[in-house]
Amino acid sequence: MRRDIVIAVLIAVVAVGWLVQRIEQREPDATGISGTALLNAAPDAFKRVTGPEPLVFPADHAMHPGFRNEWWYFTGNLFDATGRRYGFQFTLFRFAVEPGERPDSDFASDAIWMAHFAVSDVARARFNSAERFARDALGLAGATADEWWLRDWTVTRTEEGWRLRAQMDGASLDLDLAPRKPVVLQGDSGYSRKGPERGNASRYYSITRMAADGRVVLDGNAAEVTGSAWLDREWGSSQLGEGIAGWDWFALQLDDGRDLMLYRLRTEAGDASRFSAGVLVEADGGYRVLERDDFEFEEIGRWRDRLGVDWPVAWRVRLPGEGLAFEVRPAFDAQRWYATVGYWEGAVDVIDPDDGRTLGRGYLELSGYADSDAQRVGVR
Amino acid sequence: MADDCDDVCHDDNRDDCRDERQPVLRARGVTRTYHDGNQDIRVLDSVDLEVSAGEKLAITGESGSGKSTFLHLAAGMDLPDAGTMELLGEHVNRLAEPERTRFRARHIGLVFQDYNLIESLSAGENIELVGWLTGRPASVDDIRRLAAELGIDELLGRRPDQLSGGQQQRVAIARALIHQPSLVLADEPTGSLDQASAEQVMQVLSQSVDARGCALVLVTHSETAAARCDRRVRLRAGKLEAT
Amino acid sequence: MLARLSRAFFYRHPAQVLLALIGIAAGVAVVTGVALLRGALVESLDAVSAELVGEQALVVRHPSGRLDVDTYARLVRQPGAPDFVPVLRAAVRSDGQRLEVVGVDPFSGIRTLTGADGTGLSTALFNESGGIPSAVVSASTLELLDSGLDSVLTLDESGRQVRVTAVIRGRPGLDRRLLMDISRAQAMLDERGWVSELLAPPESEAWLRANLGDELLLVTASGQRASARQLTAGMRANLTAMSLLALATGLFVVYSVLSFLMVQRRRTFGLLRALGMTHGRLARLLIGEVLVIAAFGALAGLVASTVLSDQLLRLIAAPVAEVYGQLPPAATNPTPWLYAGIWLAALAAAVAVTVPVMREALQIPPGRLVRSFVVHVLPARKVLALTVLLVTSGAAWVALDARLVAALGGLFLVLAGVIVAIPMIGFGLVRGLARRTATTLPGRALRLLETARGRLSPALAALSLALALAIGMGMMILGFRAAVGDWVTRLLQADMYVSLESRSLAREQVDRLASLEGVEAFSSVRRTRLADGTTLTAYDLPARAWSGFELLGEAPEAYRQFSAGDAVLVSEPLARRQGLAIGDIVELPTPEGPARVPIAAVFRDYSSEQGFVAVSGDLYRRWFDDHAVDSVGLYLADGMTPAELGRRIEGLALGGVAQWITPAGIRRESLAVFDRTFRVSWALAMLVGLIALVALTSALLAQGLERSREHATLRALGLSPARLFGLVTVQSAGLTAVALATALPLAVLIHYALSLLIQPRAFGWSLPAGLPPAEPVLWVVPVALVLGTLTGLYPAWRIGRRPMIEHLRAGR
Repeated sequence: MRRDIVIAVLIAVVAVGWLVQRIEQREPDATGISGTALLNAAPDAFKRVTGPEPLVFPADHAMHPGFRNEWWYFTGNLFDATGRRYGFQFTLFRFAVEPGERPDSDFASDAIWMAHFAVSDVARARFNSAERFARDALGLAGATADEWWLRDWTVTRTEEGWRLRAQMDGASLDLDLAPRKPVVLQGDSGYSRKGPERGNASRYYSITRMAADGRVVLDGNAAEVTGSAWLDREWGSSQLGEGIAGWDWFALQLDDGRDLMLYRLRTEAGDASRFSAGVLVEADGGYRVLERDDFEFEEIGRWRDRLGVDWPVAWRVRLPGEGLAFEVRPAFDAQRWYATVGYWEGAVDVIDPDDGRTLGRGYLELSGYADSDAQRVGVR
Repeated sequence: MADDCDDVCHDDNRDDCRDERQPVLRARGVTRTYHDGNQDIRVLDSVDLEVSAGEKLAITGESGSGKSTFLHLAAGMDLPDAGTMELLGEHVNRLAEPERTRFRARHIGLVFQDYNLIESLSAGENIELVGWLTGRPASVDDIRRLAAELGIDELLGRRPDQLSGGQQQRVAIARALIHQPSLVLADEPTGSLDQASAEQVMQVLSQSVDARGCALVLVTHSETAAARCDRRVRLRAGKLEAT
Repeated sequence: MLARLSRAFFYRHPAQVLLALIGIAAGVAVVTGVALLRGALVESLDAVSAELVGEQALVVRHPSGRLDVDTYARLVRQPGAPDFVPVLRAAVRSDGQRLEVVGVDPFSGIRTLTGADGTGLSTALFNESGGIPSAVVSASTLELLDSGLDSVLTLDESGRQVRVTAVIRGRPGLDRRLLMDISRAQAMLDERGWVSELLAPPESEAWLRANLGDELLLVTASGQRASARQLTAGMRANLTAMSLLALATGLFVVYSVLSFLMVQRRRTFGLLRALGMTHGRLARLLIGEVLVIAAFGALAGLVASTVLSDQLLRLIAAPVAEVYGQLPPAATNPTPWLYAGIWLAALAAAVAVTVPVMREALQIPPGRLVRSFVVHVLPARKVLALTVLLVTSGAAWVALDARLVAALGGLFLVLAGVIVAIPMIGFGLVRGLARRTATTLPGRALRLLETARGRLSPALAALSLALALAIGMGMMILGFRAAVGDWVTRLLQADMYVSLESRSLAREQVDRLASLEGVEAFSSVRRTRLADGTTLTAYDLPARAWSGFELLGEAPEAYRQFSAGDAVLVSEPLARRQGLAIGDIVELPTPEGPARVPIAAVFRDYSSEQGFVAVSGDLYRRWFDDHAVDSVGLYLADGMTPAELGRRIEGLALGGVAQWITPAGIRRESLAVFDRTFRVSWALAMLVGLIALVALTSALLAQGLERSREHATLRALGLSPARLFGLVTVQSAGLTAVALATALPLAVLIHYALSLLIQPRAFGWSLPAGLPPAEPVLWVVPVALVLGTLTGLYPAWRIGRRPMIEHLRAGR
């Protein structure tokens, strides 16, 4: 009799189980994209950057089809009339689709564009960010010598320089950007090696100081702003090479007129790769390329995000050869992207460690720390 | 219609003609065992018994002594494990079920302790029932006459639940007699009745059986009922004891 | 101790417990199945945009159904433009199943969709191997197609292939959809240059209203689904009514089975009461038993219903697609609430039907050890009063309230009233029959049923109702079918109809067709949807085609007014929906502002539940300056055949694939669609019938058990097992016959109620009131008699082989 009861209960359990599986409809979490992985390797069909080549402007402001990836990267610090500070980032990424036959369609595309737009409201420690995608078709996104855009986020060339317009929920930006220094060719005349293999390199140029002038609207409140911006342009295929886990990248504008770019390519062991590099741009625009041994980083503060990832947001930086030693501290901690790619990109201050005086401002980018949380970040 | 039950050859059917010297019922070495789990219970143990035409036999005994089982075997409603049960010279246990049923319907009248009237049928229809079952309907006159004899002629249109126990049992007796059986088997016919009704019913049963020359086998606890019979046998633990 | 009592009892009567389980399971299954089906027809019809963008998504369309890609490209780059999701949709088939290719841009404002294995949409859609385009498909769709992840689906007509690269769950709106990258979809369908629609988030409504311009239409996803819902309202009402009837029948089964369980134990209960068991404990015992049986039965019913509803959904898919142009999901989407709710309701209903049985048990006097016992039958006067009350209130509801729900509810009440009286009438018939055949075995057999009246009444009523439903619905469906056939025949006056595949015909093409040798006259039709959603159909008709309109009511001037462009006609459904009558003015939005025209006549139409306005071609062209037509009807000269002319048309090179069809062909196709539409009704009617047969079986078993002493007595008195078997079989056949006899008038009532009340209220059209078709009677009567008799065989067999001696004594 007990056996029969057990059987009856088992049947009931099976039936209930069947019903429950029929109801079960939770969608699994998406697997995220590892930004590092995207840059580590590329199919052979893509062109590689293998040595210095002359760059021609404005032609090279346009996109370079044939390479796996390319970006147009603005960052900057802005102030309104009351001295309230804003950081901004506007980036267009182009990821090329593997070359090959395309369908006979209006929507056939050779690349996918991604745009990241962020405004850091320093006073309220609020990070507003928005991500957009578009395919390289029907003029949805693109980059010519005169215009870089993704739908209505546009950067158009002006007589002075560029005009940047973008808006998202709760924030918009309209800036005129005028270069105050000439183009800096990173690495060897723009040939920036990042790994040991042929093709572990990118084409890389920057305009390290641009006067910014325009309007920020935050939550419907418009403010006239001025400040200083930075443009990085980079393209290539498989530039990072194997064994690179991420990077820490500094773009600093010092009050004495010098600009400093430094990046540390982090190996999986956590050390700085020998291809880590930088550039020091003088106030007059003259610049000098820095190699790994020219500078030292030391992590001095971490911030833990809501997913539990630690970000080294504060650093001690030394350039013994230049007699420079300072600290880099975030304008506020929570300037982290929870998007398709998870990274930290935020406004920072350059601080004199002795008296706490602000020596300059800039942007810091931390990448490769959150790849493990890619699982938790939704991706289309 | 012949009133004499002895005349069992009144029928045209040759099969039904039997030697009148034969006993109506003859049991030889009748044994019946029931299986209850692993246990065998021998309810009847080599019972030999004869009932002659027109004879009234009472079978008494304790509860569980096998009285009813004997009656069921006699009616062909059950089969012995060993021995033979002869009814009117026919080996009942050798007949196939349909023949046995037909034989019962033709030659045996049954009276039960709980009357067992069909509730949806009127008293008259209950009496008619056997004729309908055998395909030889009794005439309305026969039913009337028999009912009058049993004192229930006023009650023929009533339904069983409108009758008293004694009245119901008299209807049942009419049902048992209407087709002129050679043998009436009565299983505790007064068992559910009060003493007065029991007396009355027993009297009616005895008289009408006598009037028809039918044999009667009466299974009963009641001494008074048994006293009305010509002969008594007693069953004890499945064995027959003469008294 | 109580549990042991119950358990011992259950063990001794496994068949009865099984019947009780089946009865409950069947009732629950039908109700749940229909609830799930309703859900599928409400929640997931045309829910693609809701699934891709969100519940409140906005949809931008061009009236033509094709939105130019350049328009999209222009819109999308305007400042402040939302992140439009361009969608290209096309109906396809694979493995005979209706599907839709939904091409989307995964890099637009589409919501996060993830495959069951975590694959993102863009990853899945750009995962191409072997040059076969990728598609993301829902799990239930794959089940429907009997394939899996990484399988290759072949489209039936084009032979094109897609590979399933991700499976999504829990998005029923995407069922039956092949979600593809829009570029692959465009290439595969060879549809360059346009998209079907643009989806946008709800926040962009203001921007869209300001920037879309006049050409494009803006619909909300919820509005779109509401209209899809509206479309299937009639079908859903039909399903609901059927499920309620099935539930009622299921409860009959439960009642008869439970009362049977009670009968078995009357003696035990009497004894228990004598031994001092209180009413409360006895009630607890019974309720406990019922709950255990109901819990298991309902659970089985839920499982069965889910399987059942998925099957029914497949049956419905074709008609929903053909008639309403919507693809239902591939599987139903049960929620925990639905399951739990129905399960609990089933327990409650089971306890509720047990109340009369329980009262019966509790009334057993302590110590009463006999089994015989009469189930109370309501006196005829009370039955009649109840019937009159129910019937009049039902009729009053129908008369006073013009809504569909009133028609359904009223019919329900009337049926309930009639059902109450059915046992009385039925057993009256039994008595009559028995009297007629008094001296025969059937006569006696039927007489014997009389005592079991209380026990058999519910089963008789259930069976009668089920049969009446089957026959009545059959009558309605066949009558409706004949009406549609007649209507199509009358409507199609031309000898053949010509159209171009997925294109309209330009004036010049029409002229070329009309001037073909052998063409005497021609008609043409142009159908458009106006800005306010009204469908407008423009007719150019030769005088002799006028009789194709079956006008409802007298309108002698209609033809003159219509052809002169002074008035319009409206179809019956539109007239009903909007309360329009001859002489009323309709206002139609035209490019030159609203046009106000009187109605010349209302005509019969079964082509659209929403209805439409018919105008003359001249008037239409004057308003809209649109000279194209959708199809042309050709009237042939003597000696010319459609086939011959068809060959000439093919030789015309009209600049498109010309299709032609004869009226007979159209009629055939229309009726085929019609038949598919009513498959579900048939399936449900059959289910109800099956449940009723279970009710009959259990009632006969109960009756057989209750009458076991009677049967044993009959056996003892000389009824052979074979004849006893015959007797019980005659009883079940007789009951079925009586149920049929009472069902026939009820069926006619149901037929007229469905045809003359429910149809007009649900769909807007009326059916000609004629004599009900006889075919359903001819089909159902023999089938029911055979099934009813077969149903009696098992109880008869059980009764026949029961040992008689045991049952001769009372109380055994």
